[in-house]
Amino acid sequence: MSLRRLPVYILADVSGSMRGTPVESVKAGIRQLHRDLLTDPQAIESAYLSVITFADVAIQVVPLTEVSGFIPPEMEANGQTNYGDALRVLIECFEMEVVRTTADQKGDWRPLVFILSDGAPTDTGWTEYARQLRERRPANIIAVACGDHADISALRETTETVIQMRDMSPDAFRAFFKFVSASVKTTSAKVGSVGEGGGITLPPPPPGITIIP
Amino acid sequence: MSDLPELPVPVPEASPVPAMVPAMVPAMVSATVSAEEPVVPATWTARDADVSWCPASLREALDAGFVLAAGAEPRTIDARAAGWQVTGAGVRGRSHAHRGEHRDDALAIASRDDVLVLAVADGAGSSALSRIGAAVTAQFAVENTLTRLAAATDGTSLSQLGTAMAYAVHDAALRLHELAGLAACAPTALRTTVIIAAIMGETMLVSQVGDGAVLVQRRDGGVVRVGATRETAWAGEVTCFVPDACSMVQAAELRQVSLADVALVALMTDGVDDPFHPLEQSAAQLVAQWREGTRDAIGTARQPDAPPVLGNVDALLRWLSFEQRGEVDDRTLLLAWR
Repeated sequence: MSLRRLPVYILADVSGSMRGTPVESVKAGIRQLHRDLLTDPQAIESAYLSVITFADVAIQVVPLTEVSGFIPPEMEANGQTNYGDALRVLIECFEMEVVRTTADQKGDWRPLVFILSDGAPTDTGWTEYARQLRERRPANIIAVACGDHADISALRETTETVIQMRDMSPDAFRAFFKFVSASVKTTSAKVGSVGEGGGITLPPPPPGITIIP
Repeated sequence: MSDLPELPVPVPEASPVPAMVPAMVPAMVSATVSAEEPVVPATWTARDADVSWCPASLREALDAGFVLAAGAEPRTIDARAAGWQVTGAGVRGRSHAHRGEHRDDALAIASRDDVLVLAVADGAGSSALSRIGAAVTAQFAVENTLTRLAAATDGTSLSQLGTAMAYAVHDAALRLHELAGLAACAPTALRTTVIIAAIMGETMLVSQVGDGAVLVQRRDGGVVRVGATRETAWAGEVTCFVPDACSMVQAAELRQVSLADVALVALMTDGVDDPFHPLEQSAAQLVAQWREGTRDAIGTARQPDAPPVLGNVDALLRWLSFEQRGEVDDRTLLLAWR
């Protein structure tokens, strides 16, 4: 009779191209997301947040933590875009932290993952991890192509749900994290399983953010 | 650093922002500080639904009496039929109550001579009109099973009862497609699970689309679950709903249970069985609470003391008010006993 949680993972690209306003906006957005979820009792009870940053390597800077105990992380941007390491760490986190239903244990909600990246992978091993995520569908993954230089095809190989946020201003990130918050709040509902063509229904994205068909 | 999220100007590249003091950023400090004031974590509230249970587009299609009964909060049943007593209730979960939304669960019973049909349904939370889908499906499940059985060549045949149950789900699915057309929405907007238990003499047939559970208690006190769970690896995900095409197949996969030594049958939506997962381990304690009253909580649930619920709708509503962290779904429990 364990608690069933909604694991929410945020994968943030903190490579050098995110330095300055973009990374500060992501940090501010995560803080805003946390504050927003604190206003929702269902999120307080069910949502668990984790932050994984990736540059030269990927690091889970905040392990899966309930909303009331979450402390928004500091981040600095520099280095390359080791996208494969990010996906590897994400898969490891799923194996270590997420609970599936068994005969004896109640499982979590299917995790919700947001991947933010403004560039292209600089490593070569990411395709295998992307293939694993796309085929096994261990989570509802929303990839966000930030700016004009994000590698949409790489994100596409990871998930079919890719959205584009060309504007990388603080306001745009603020609107995006509102969208994340709304997605978290609406995800804890009975849904058709992904394998049966169901899956979550995302709230409409804010102006300036488009779903890439 | 952590209290500077809302600065309206870009932070200088790679330069640490000094600790915020009013003298350093006089024009922005009040707004920034107020935006970062500690948030008091929200608590649960409850309010009436913001919209009518029946959308305007379906008012002519749905009988007014049906709408009134199905939309009542809570929905309760207290009846005696075909040699069984029935007590049932469906209540809004904390999430719907907090958001001012209707219950998506439904329950219904119908009987004729020695046949009693029970149904519970749970509308998909991700489907906008699932409350309509659940209520219509539960009602079709019980009424059309009896209607089709009455029209069968042998109304006492178990196989024809089973056929009637499967076709009742088919009828419900067709009706949901009609209603979707009237409401100008996709049929998936009315998605629902359904469990039907039809009792004929000393035999029960069970048809199930989606999740939820059926328990039977034997006269010797033993409690068993009828059939296996249809859950996926993840919470809240269901492999099939009415009116999806797969529902016709799942509805026809009937389970037959001899009732010769059965004293109680329980149908429940996942709002009741999930908090007590795995049900196979908690079932005996649950039935004991329903029969003898609730004094000690099961597992980590916070359960109020409650008298026996059989024949006592108020006690059943009190029993359904238990709390468990993260369990915010609607709850429906339908009990038949003798």
